[in-house]
Amino acid sequence: MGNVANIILKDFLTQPVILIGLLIGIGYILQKEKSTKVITGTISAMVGIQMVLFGGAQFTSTFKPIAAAVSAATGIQGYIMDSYAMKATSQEALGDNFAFMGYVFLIAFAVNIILVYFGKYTKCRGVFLTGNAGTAHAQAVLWLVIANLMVKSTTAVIISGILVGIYWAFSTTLASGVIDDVTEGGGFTVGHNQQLGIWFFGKIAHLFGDKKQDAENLKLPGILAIFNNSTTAVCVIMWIFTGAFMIPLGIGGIKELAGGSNWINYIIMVGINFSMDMVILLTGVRMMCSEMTAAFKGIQEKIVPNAIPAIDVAALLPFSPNAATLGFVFCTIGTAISIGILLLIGSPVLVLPGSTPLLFSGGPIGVVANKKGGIRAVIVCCLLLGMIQSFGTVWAIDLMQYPAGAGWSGMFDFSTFWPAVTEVMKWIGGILH
Amino acid sequence: MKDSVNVLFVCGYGMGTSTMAELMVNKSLKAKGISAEVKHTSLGEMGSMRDWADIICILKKFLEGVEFKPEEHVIPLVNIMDGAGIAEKIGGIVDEYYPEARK
Repeated sequence: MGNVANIILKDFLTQPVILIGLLIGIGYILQKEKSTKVITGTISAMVGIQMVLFGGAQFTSTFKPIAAAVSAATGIQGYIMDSYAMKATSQEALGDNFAFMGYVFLIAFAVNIILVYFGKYTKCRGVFLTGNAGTAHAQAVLWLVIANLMVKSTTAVIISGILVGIYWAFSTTLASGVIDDVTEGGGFTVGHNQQLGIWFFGKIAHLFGDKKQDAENLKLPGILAIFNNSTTAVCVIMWIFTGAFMIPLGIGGIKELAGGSNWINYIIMVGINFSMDMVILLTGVRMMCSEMTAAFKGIQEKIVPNAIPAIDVAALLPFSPNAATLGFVFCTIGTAISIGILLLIGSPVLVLPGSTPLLFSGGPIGVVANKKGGIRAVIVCCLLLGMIQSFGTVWAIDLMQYPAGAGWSGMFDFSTFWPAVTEVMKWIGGILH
Repeated sequence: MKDSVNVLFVCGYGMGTSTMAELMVNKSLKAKGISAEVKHTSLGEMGSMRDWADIICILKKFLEGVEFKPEEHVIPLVNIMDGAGIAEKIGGIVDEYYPEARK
């Protein structure tokens, strides 16, 4: 018997896909779903998780040879800043511990609900419902806790769950006032990766301009609409930034990377491959999280019906479509300026933006800035945003404790608040060990 | 005649926002007695699902630069949490073009 238990514990329950699949299966059974639903739902989710792991590994393997070649040629280590780079890095760093992120997520959600339940004392009202961002938080913070505090996995899971839960409850509540203004009482707040940024820029944007100069009165070049299309946006942004990153290699160096074949082909395929990796990741996350939103929304409505649902940030974009586009453009310019500064000061670490921080921090913060201070505020806030995110990511990468990773998030909260928390954990870890 | 309509929700990455919109609208559709199959996707991947969809609900922001055929029914979304309002618009299209889908 001891042997069987050993096999179950050691082999079976350390396989992330099986462990999380089990968790999801139990979830369906607890929801009293039909047996066909339990089976199809669980297996779909397991395929989704495997796809996320595969997509993450693909993402890393698309970028790593380029980073290695540039590092050899210039001594500069390049990293990508994108939520999905953070996903890839943290799941590789966690290895078999990856499975525990499911428990971190559940603890975080419970902590969030408890903080809102006692809202009279805590002032918390937001409940985080965005599964796609939440799973990324769970795994990234779990890794940061394990790597910095150097504690055993059970303790790490509990600490990570509590930290993420507190972040969810307070950040979504902080942002809710600004979002209420922007959406004119839309009845939601944002639960994603830049709630603290929305709150911050929501408070200062009015200083930079007049909200009567509404960005919606502008006529923007229609070509910018290509960036609405995620498949295209990833590819084009990667062509621009990864392409520029490869300049020091020269044509000869890129040819070498391409194994002797045509260098233009190679650059074109880098963009296409990144976009394909992203489609794999998105499909995987969709399969993994498809039912999660409904389940968690149901729990929220039952226990804390008066809470404010905290949802994906793209919900803000339709409230000011032009400002979202301008926000993206100026966040990209701010990021490019930061890259220039990093090169000028001879930084050993360089960050290259993926599409997510530009479109989904730049866009929504553009919308917020426009509602508070018009076009000029959009320009100032989003330039600033691009710079904060870039320099913050250099800070975060210094703390991510996994130099072999493809990169880190690049979103506002993961370039400001979370590196600060990591510094504290690193300090405590230093005392403990 | 179709006794159920296919509704597609479209947002940036086809994950958070479209899933939540789908959830909010689903409840109201049931309450209105409209039988519908609902799916969600990203704008980048929408092409593979356009044939399936009878009605496309798309975040207003993502309408820029996308061309729809005249026979495609498109509903631009502003506040995705307004499930009842969006379901009302779907109901209007259903009554005109797919009356069998409402019980």
